[in-house]
Amino acid sequence: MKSHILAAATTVLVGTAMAGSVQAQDQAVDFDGKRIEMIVPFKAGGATDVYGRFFAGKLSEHLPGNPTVVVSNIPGAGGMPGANQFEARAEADGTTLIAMTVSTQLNWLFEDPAAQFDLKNWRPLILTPQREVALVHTDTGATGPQDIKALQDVELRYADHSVRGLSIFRLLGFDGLGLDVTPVWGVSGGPARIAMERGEITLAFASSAAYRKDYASMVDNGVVTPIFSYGDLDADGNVVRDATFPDLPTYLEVYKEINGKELAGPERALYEMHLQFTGASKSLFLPADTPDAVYDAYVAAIQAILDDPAYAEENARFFGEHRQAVGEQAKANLAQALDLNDELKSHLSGWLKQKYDLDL
Amino acid sequence: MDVWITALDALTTLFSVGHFSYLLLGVFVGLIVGILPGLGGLAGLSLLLPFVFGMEPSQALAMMVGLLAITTTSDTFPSVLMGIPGTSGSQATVMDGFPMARRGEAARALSAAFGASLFGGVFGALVLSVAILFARPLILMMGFGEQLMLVLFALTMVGILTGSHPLKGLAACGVGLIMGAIGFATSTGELRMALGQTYLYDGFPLLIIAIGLFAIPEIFEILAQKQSISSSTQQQKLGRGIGEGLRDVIRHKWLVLRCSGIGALIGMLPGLGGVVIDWIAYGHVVQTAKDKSQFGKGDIRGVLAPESANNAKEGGSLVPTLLFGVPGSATMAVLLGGLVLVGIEPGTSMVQENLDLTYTIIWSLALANIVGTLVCILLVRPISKLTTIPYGYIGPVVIVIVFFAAFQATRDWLDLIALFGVGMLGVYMKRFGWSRPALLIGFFLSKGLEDSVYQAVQIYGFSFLERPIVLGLIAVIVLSVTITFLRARKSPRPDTGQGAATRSVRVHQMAFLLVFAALCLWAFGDALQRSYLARIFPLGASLATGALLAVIAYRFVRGGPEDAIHYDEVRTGEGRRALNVYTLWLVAFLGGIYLLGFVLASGVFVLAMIVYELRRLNWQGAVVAVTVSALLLVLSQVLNLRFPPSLLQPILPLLS
Repeated sequence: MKSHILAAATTVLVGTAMAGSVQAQDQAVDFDGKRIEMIVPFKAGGATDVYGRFFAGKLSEHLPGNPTVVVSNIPGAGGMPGANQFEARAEADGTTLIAMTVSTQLNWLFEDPAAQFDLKNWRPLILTPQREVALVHTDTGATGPQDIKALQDVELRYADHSVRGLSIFRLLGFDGLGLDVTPVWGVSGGPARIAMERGEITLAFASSAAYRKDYASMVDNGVVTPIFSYGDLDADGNVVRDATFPDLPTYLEVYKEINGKELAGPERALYEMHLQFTGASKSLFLPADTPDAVYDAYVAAIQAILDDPAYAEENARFFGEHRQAVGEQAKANLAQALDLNDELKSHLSGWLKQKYDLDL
Repeated sequence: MDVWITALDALTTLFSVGHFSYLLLGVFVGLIVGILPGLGGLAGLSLLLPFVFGMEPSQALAMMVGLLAITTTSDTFPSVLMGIPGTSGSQATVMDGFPMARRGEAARALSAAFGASLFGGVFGALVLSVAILFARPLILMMGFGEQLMLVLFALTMVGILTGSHPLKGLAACGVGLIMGAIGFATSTGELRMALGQTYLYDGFPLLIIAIGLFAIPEIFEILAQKQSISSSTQQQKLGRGIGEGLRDVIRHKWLVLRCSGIGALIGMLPGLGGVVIDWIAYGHVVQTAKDKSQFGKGDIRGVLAPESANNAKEGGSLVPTLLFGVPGSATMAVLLGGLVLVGIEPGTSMVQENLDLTYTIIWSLALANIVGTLVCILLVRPISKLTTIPYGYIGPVVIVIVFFAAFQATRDWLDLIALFGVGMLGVYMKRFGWSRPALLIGFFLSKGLEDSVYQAVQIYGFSFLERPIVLGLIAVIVLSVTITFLRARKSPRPDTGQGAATRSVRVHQMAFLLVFAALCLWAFGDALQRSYLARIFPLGASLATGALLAVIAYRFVRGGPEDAIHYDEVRTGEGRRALNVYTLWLVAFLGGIYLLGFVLASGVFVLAMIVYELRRLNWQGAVVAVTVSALLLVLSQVLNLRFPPSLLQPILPLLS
């Protein structure tokens, strides 16, 4: 009897203590005097690093207590060592966050043995899209989207970074349009653009930022022409035309035009997954098990950065015209992006093996 | 005319107090990171990036360019004085600069290097200011086929840098090609020879290969001789060669001009990257010199050539960086990130609406070179005094510096292990006369060679061989190889002066050769498991290297006792014991880092080794040890560094 009372008393005590700590968490998210580490799993000066640093200084101003935010670059191996370190040593108290890029997420998705982290449990703060367009050289005879049918008879040389990553989705898309594409790996970004200008490469993709910076003048000079955009998602998750390229048909429109039917089946699911990934081109995460109060404080800070009129010009230049997914929205989008079931996966790897003799 | 007005405007802006002080700040930081081995422009820029954000663009540019311009000058200090390449762009300077320091001519070597750097840097700025307006078509002409030919051309420099024996040199280059193939294959995304380590996904870091091959063997050698760097008989003339060094620059003005041209041009063209430029310049000077006997033993021309080229390179590689937003080197890639951070998007706008910023960059480059060189020359006299301190003090500290530098490669425990492994390789390569530059060049060009062959064939088939510039470059390559071959035949065989090879020498030689043979076998076996495109390069490289090794092995066994192939620097039992002892010291240091953490272990290691070297414990030794630990602690705080995790870390987080 006595022991029962003791047990009950203990339960009450522990219960109160726990409730107390939960309450403490609720009210006291304050990073005053703290040093927050942002892990960037890439080299200083790279695109992910620039993204991280864009936020680092501003987070310091907008998080409660104005903590110092320092960037730690842990480069190499497609971002995996950095992500692994984040998984291994980040405390779930908001003092460590990570800036991610889509290729590292795809390594996780395709179960690279080196990816020793559980992306599904991390808490996404913001997903920043880089919507894409496909362009061809005018030497191919194409002058716009209406010429895609004619392009089926042309051998296209396509530049991309590596087999691993979003390039598989892009190749699958070209195949859906019946295009004859020879990939040239190891050429991307600026070098790809120059190769396009030389006419060595005849098919490339560009994010809207890269389009504006690199390709717009070439389009004006008639050297290259965009043939379709991969589209964008509206607030309800429908595929719509990319706001940056309102006159350019989306992949879905072009597909229907060429094949006489809507894109469906596993190809459709993979296309939407591709869209979710370009929607998460760059992102920020807190570790798994971060308390809601801390997570909410971060989400509020990021929302404040996006809405701050003082940054309006800078933000517009940095983010372009695409919707940023913050907090709950980020969580929902990421869930769809990471939902590669066995059936889709075997479809993708089977296609890759048969078409290009490559392993996923 | 508008161009001139913009250029002058940019110059006057730069001389305003605000801009000039940022330029000086950049130069100051660059000076320090350049002097510290392993940290170069890349680390310096990363250090400045947090402050760059939100700065006024032209001030940020002055600061960043100021930093970049000076690191390729100040990195000469460790190259010449310690034999450690200060950055990966200054390895070739070690070849003749360090032997000069050992002769007591450190001041002459340094001031000659700075004079050549100054000329190269200003020349690069000049090239940039003209080329930025006209180079566009030139860069557009360099397609994948042309880039492949550039890589092949760079590879022919191996023929000149084969060291004591051509066969060993070629085999070393082959080993470099194989080591460079580790990691992801571009053509298929397959992993090769990675042993399941993420560390090897991107291959060995270049920094580790450079430091391991060049620094560790030199440290061992001087430690074993129990002296200071410059031998005592030479010390009285130390610090007096500054004027002599500057006169050397003028005496060899055409060489400096040619090498500056080479540096600027190759820096501008896509395909090669900055690291081999100093070797190409070095190869050029050896190839064209009438009297080659002193190269590698302290020929001033071997200092002038790489130093002028690697400073001119900065101006050259800014051309594609600014015109196309395509970085010409790893450092330029960080600069590009910095440009984006301050809101500049490189591209054609740099010669149109942003022309003023372009001229800010050009003037900053020129000014920073001038200011930086003056500061460096002022530092020559005090810093070269370092070479007179007994190496018992310097050696242990240099070992700590080298491990610290290596850890900057990826900040992983494996950086330290890899440094140890590559260092041992370097020690025995030096001992047995296998050319280390040949391995380095093979390693660095491996990926470029494989990728550009793959890309050129993927795009053109073999028709790229019909392109005019490709044909022109083939002619240059054939010419370069022919000259090397003819000159090698004419020059008398160097006498190694080592006497007949004993049986024990042959056994040791063979044992080391088996290490390379094992690497070949491993690469061969690994290649067989890959698909066709990922297999062909490592297969070819390992077969060719294996064949060379077989010929060498045959001559070890059958060759006459006077055959130069038996070259072995360390033939006494005592010498071999010394090598083993210092190897054990390194192992102990690694163990110490694992137990105590880097900061504490470094202090303990320095103290223990000083006591061992000097056979006594004195207060100077203790001061050096404490200083080393304290400095590392400060550096880790300032640079936001994490040292490798150790057993003691949970108890003493700050110290380890």
